[in-house]
Amino acid sequence: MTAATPDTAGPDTAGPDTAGPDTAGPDTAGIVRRVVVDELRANQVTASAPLDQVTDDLVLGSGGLGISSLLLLHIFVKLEASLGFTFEDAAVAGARFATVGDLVRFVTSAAPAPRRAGET
Amino acid sequence: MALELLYDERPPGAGGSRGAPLLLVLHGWGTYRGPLFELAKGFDPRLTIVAAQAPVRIGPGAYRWFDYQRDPATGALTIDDDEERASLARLERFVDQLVATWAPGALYLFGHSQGATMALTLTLRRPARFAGCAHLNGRVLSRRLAEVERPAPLAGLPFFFGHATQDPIIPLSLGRQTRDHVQRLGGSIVSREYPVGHDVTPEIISHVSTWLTDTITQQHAPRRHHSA
Repeated sequence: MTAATPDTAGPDTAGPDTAGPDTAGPDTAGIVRRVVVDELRANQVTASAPLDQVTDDLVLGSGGLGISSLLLLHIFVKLEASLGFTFEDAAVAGARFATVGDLVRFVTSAAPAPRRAGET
Repeated sequence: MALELLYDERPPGAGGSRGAPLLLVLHGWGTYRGPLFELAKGFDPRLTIVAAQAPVRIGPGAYRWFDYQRDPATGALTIDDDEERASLARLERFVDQLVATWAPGALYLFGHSQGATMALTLTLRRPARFAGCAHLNGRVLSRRLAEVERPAPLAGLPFFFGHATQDPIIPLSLGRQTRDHVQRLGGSIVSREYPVGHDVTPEIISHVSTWLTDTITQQHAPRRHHSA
């Protein structure tokens, strides 16, 4: 699954390495899971798993949480609002998001590192 | 150079961009300029290719020319006229900037879905400005048609119409109506239908590429001199 929506033109371009280190810490991962659950509830999507058990191995699309490409786009919009930054167009459009874990890894690797005490 | 819209450019294979035929590429709703540009980069090397990005951001990697709502009961679409009008104004200024910057020998359009609708609107409003239009899985807005009914003889202007037979976004019937209307206005039509969904496949790109090359070649063929 990609974040592309109905007008997707042709094959996906190569995306970034989405399996990078979790530089943004557990809070970002928690925000991703919360936004996914909130959007599933808001859109009354019938998921194959209880929403309080959204684990990284769950499939995002059909056969799993039932998240459409359009809903995934909404999730990214909510993530930008929650995290306070914007994602690169090409990075999101080129990435593939099969599972919750793919999404968590992508977002955490894209997020800026948290500022430590004493940094300016 | 800062123009009215974000864009990517592929210069022609030989010589400079100035004076070369130019293809303006317009993507559809919910994507961005990158994917269609990647596909168009393989088109005829005589072309300068410019892929413009729609001005309204939906989210990361997703932009639109105008918003719309679909009635869940009837499937009827309601277009955000104000947004379409504002985007068209920006697109027309962008075309002015392209002409001023590159002075293209001929100006072609290639659009997919909402981008095709915008490309056709541009053409219908100022047909003399363009040398051809490739229109994939798009339509024409009725409001725009009403504007161009009076003047707009298309006078043999070349069009490629491609539409998917299983298009769930813009039904084939709407694509055929649009094509037929352009034909009645005098457009010279190449029309193909594809047994796919609302996608741009390699086969479709190949057909657009061939149509572009043939059209450029015909329009720029040297005139034969006949001896008495």
